Order: sequence, then structure tokens, then C-alpha cells
Amino acid sequence: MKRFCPLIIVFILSAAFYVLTGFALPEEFSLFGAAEDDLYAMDDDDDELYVAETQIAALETDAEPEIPVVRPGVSQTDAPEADTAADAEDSAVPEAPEADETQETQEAEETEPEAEELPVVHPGENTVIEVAPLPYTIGPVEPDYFADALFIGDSRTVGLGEYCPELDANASFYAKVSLTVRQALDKPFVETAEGKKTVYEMLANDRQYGKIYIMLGINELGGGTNESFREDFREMIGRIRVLQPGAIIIVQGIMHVTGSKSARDPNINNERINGRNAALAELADPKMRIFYVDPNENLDDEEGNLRAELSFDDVHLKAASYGLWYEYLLGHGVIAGS
Amino acid sequence: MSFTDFDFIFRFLPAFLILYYLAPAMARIYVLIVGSVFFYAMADLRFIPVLLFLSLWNYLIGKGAANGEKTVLALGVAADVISLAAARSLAAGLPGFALPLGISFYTFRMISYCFDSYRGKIPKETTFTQALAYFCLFPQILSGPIMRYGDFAKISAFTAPSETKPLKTRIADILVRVENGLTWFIFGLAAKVLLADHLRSLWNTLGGIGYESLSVPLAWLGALTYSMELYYDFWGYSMMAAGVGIMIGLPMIVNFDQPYASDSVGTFYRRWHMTLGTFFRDYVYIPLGGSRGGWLKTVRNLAFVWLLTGIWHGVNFGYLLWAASVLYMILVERALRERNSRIAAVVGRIHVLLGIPLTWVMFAVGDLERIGAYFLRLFPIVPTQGVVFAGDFAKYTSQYGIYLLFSLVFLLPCVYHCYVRFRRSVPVTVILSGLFVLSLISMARAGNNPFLYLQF
Repeated sequence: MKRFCPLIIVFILSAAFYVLTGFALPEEFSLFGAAEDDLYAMDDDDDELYVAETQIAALETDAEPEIPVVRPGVSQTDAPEADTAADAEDSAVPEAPEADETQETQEAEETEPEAEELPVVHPGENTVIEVAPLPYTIGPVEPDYFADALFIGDSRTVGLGEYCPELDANASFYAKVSLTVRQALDKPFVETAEGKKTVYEMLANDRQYGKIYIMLGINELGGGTNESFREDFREMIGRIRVLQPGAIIIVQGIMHVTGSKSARDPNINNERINGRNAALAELADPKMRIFYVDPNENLDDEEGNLRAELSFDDVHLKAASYGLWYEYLLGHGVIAGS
Repeated sequence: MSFTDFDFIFRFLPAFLILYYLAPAMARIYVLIVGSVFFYAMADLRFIPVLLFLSLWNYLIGKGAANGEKTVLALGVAADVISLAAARSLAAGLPGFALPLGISFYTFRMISYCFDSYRGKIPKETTFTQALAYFCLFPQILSGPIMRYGDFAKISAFTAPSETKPLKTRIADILVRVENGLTWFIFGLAAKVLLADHLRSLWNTLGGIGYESLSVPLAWLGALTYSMELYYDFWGYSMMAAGVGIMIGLPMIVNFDQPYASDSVGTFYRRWHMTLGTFFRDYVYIPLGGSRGGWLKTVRNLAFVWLLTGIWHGVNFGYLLWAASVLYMILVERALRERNSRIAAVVGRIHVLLGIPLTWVMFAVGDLERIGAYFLRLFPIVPTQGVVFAGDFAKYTSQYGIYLLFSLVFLLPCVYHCYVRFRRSVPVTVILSGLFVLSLISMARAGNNPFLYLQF
């Protein structure tokens, strides 16, 4: 070993590799699994990767620009008071004006990602899905309102599930630290007896929910535009809608960060969050049973920042603060009838 | 630029070493100075003039105090202490004023230089160039270790006659030196990146939850987590600094020597951040009379040293409480040892394994109200106001258990001693290479965490 210097050789090889590649690792790369993701995945590396990916996605979608919301229960637009048995056949042949385009997109939706293992999903086949009649209003609800609710989200929603026992007792949670809109349905993270499954698989095969709450977006503030974010979100809602035709989908505004964080972070700041939230609000479409609520109303200070005393790390609520979020949700349920 | 920047590891360090060893022996010290100033400038350009001015000042004081001039020494030390105190007060009081990087460490190196000069330990013919190279030395400028000038003078790379020989005849020596340095550098990098950074992530998560909402087992796990994080962060940094030092021809500077294997808090702090401990011993405790003046004076001297240690870390309630708790444990141990050494040893172990982690909680948390909230979860004598997630302990042990496990394994002195003994063997070299690659991947994956100790 005296004359031979193996570590120097390893060092030189690594240096060469670094100079050549800059160690740009794939986005999904994980060294030891779970804990790695807890480094909050909001660092610049991820943002850059995301930007690159968005650009590729933008190129790809140039051919087929608008991905419309897939509307399975289309008959409701015309006859909202009818209880509809929506099955996949129906939803594939909507009567909406943009029928052709919708159909194309939907076929792509259903065949592309799960062509190999999963059969084409027929949500609610042979089941009658109760759809409450229009109109809907937003107002106070009781805790058991959440008994058929599902929450999809990132670390903040993880916290809501853990530190709001009253809500956790009723609702279901598919939430994961560092989740983004683009991975939300296709990243296998839901623990089941048969291993980890994607939210898409769960929504297809598990059960039908009455309400699906979504809060996502803080992890992708560094990349894309408000419009691209909205369209990604729209596509995700569309895919959920196919699988869960009866559910009310409630999009939550992205929770703000504190003023001090907002002032010093070029990406994760409230100006950007407000832009994203305005784009999300455009997705609301009561006829399609898609609603937008903004829990920031119960968490902000006068300047529109997350109240500093509610958070320690400026991004996440402290355990004791989640009650305020829940309180807002209790006051802003979507109720059928006026 | 810190040791865990890719730019440092793969650009600065190799470029520096090549220039350093290509330069003729006479010029090598200038390469060291220019490299060090460049390294510091990359991290903190604003305070280069302060660093250079203090270097000149302390060199002159060193010359003036060399004949045992007490007044000159006092003048020099006062300037260093005032600079440090002023910088710290400004950083604490003036929003937007960042503490000059490394000032706590390089002013202490300067104080030690003045004292050593006063005590005749520094050769009279020392030039300003040599002193400047010592003050600015890049592996040590940001977070120590607080190496003495005597160790710096041992640097053989530009003093040994063999170094003037042509490159061909000394290349083998250089490679052995760099290879040896890499064994420490990589070990330190892995400790910092693979253990400390991941444990820090858990510690931050606990803060995010809010201490009042931790379950009791998680609160204890948190005390362990922070203790291990601090240890591997700073020990890792110290090994990286030592490794770079070896590469440029310095002796191995040991800053941590298996502190958690100690049987008393007193011993713990002789093995933890040793260069700071010996600094206070040599330049404060012993000049005050040490333990030779009877009980009362010993207690007074210890209290003064620990007050200074607390303040050196920062004027913050947590640091003072930490220092006071450590002092208390040391005094209890001293009192017990005079009566029954066996009981003293048992109490000492309990202090090290249980008391020290609790003092680190104070150290980390800082503010009285939050320290109180944390301790009420460690010792839940009153029910908490927070919301506790019953599954939190299971969740975080399953996510971070592996890091905690390894951090405990490397507390065992035999593991470390095995490493020291076999670090040039084939299997350990293979493991080290693997750890190096894993560390690089982890760094690329997680972005960079600056060293925790950098703020001090």
C-alpha cells in the first residue's frame, strides 16, 4: 500500500466525474429511502431538475396543447338533479361540445400509464354513484362531514393528518413529504398490505370518496409558470375525476410561508404562492363539483403572511397550529343545496 | 466555500495542492498565504482587511511581548478580545450584519500566539510571512482547530532540506502524505454528510413540530439526535481539517478523542473540542492559579473558565445555562472523587451519557421558554398543551434509525481505534472509497448544509 495510492485514484476519478457531469442526479434518486426525502426537497437542485423537466413537458405537449378536464358525469351539466350511474363507457363518450378532443385525451390517459399491469379502470362499474343535486354552497359542517373525505397533499397535509386527531379519526390521507402535483398520482407511496401503491391505483380500486381535498404546490414553486402549474393541476384533477366520478373535489390554496421566509427566499415566497393560488382558483367549477377554498384566510397575519407564531421553520405549521386549518375546513365545507 | 462544497473538494483543494508542491520550497509559504486568503475571500470578502490588520497587529505584539513584556501582551490580547466582542455585539444587535467568518477561531489563534511569544515559545526569528501563514491557514480559519504556532512550525513541506530536491525524488513522499490526509478527510466527510446532516434533518423536524407536541420517547430521541449531530458535525469537520493539514505537511491535530467514552464530565471536556479546552486551560485557568489555590479558588477559576466558554459560543441564555450545567456536574464530580472514587466513576458515567445530552438540548434550543417546553416533554410532570401524535416515535425511528444506529456504533472507542490502526489496509480502503462516493451522492442530493459550528 505504501507505493500505491488508491484513495488518490478514487478522488481523481470522482473529480473527473464531477467536472464532466456536475453530479446532476435523477430527480427520483434516493440514497437510503425515506429519510432522504425529509431534507424537505425544496432545494435548488430539485428546482433545476424540475425546470428542465417542465421544458421537456412543454415541448411534448405542444402538439396537443390543452388538456381539458375529463368529465365523466357529463350528464350532470344538463340534468344536475339526476342521480347518475356513471361508468367508464359513459364517461368515454361525453356529450359535451368538445367531445372529440376529450375522448382522445382520455384514451391516452387511460392506456398510457397503466397499460401493462392495471387493466383499464372502470370506476364505479356496476355501482350507482350518488351525486347530490346542484347548487352547492360553502358553509359550516360537522366533524362527521369528513367521514368520506380524502386528503391528498405534501408534508403540510402529512402534518394535518398527524396533528389533528379529530380529523384523522374521520378522514383518509394520501400525503407524502415533498410531493408535487406532477408525481402526486403516480408515485408509489401509499402503504398497503401488498406494498406501496400509487394514489392512482388506490383511487381506482379502493373506495369511492365523497370529498377529495388537495393541497399541493409548495414543492414546485421554483419551476414552471402559474399557467403550467394550473394545467398540471387540471390534468391531475381530470384523472381523479375519471376514477372518482361522484366526489366533490376541493382544491385548497397553497398555504403561505411566514413573512421572514417570504422576504428572503427567491422561490418560496408569498408573492409566488399568491400567483399560484390565483391560478388554482380558476380551476373552480361548481358544475363539475370542483371548488376552491383558501385556508390562508384563517392562518395569515394582516400582511398576508403565515402568522409567525404558528410556525417554527417558517414553512410548516407547528403541531399545535393545525387546529386552525381544521377549524377553517369545518367552516368551509361544500354542502349540497342552498 | 466550505469543506463540503464540491468547489472546495474538487477544484480548490486539488489546484492548491498542485501549485503548492510544484512551487520551489522557498515560495511555498507564499502559495499557502495566497491560497488561504483566496479561500477566505470566497467565503467572506468583506473582512479580509480586518483579518490582515489583526494579523499584523498580533505579529508586532508577539515581537514586543517576546521579552516578557506584560503590558504589551495585555495590549495585544485586549485588541483581540475587543475585536471579537465588537463583532459579536454587532452581529447580535445589528440586523443584516453577519459575523465575520471564523473570527472566534482566528482571534483565539492570535491570542495564543501572543501568549506563546510572551512565554518564549515562539522563535525570535519568526517572520511576518510565517505568522501570517499561521493566522490565515485555510484548513483552520473557519472553525478551527485552534492549533498552536508550535505545531504550525513543524510543517515540513517548506522547511525540510529534502523539499528542495527535484520533484521526481519527492513525489512519492507527497503522494503518501496526500493519501494519508485523504483517509482523514474522507472519514470526516462521511461523518458530517452521512450522519450529521441526516440527524440534523430530524432535529429540525422536531423543532418544526414544536417541542410541546413531542411524545416523551421522541423528546428523548431528540436529545440523542442533537447530541450525535453536534458530535459528528464538529468531529467530522475537525477530521477534514486535520486531513487537509496532513496533506500540506502539518502534524495530525486531534480535536476530539472519543469524548463519550469518558467516565466524567471533566474528562469529557478534555476530549471534546480539545484545542479550545487546552486554550482555556493554558491561557486562562492556569494563569489564574488553576487548582493550586484551594477549593474556593479552584471553583472560582473553573466558574470563570466556563463563563468565558459559554460567552465564546454566544451571548444567549442556552449557552450560559449549558455552561452552568457543565460546571455544576464538574464540581459534583470533584467533590465526590475526594470522598469515594467508585461512586464518582458511576456518577461520572451517568453525567456523560445522560447529563451531557440534556445540556446539549439547552445548548441547541437557546431560549428559556422553549428549553422549558422541551424539558417538560423529557420529564412530563405536567400535561402538555400541545397536540401529540402517538405514532411519532415509531415514525421517526423507522426513518432515521439507521443513522442513529451508526452514530452509536462509532461512539465505541474500539471502532475508532480499529480504524486508526487499519485505515491503510485494503478492506478499509474499499470501505472508505464507498463512503466517499456515498457522501458525494448525498451532497448532490441534498444540497449543501453549512457546518453547524460555522456560526460560532
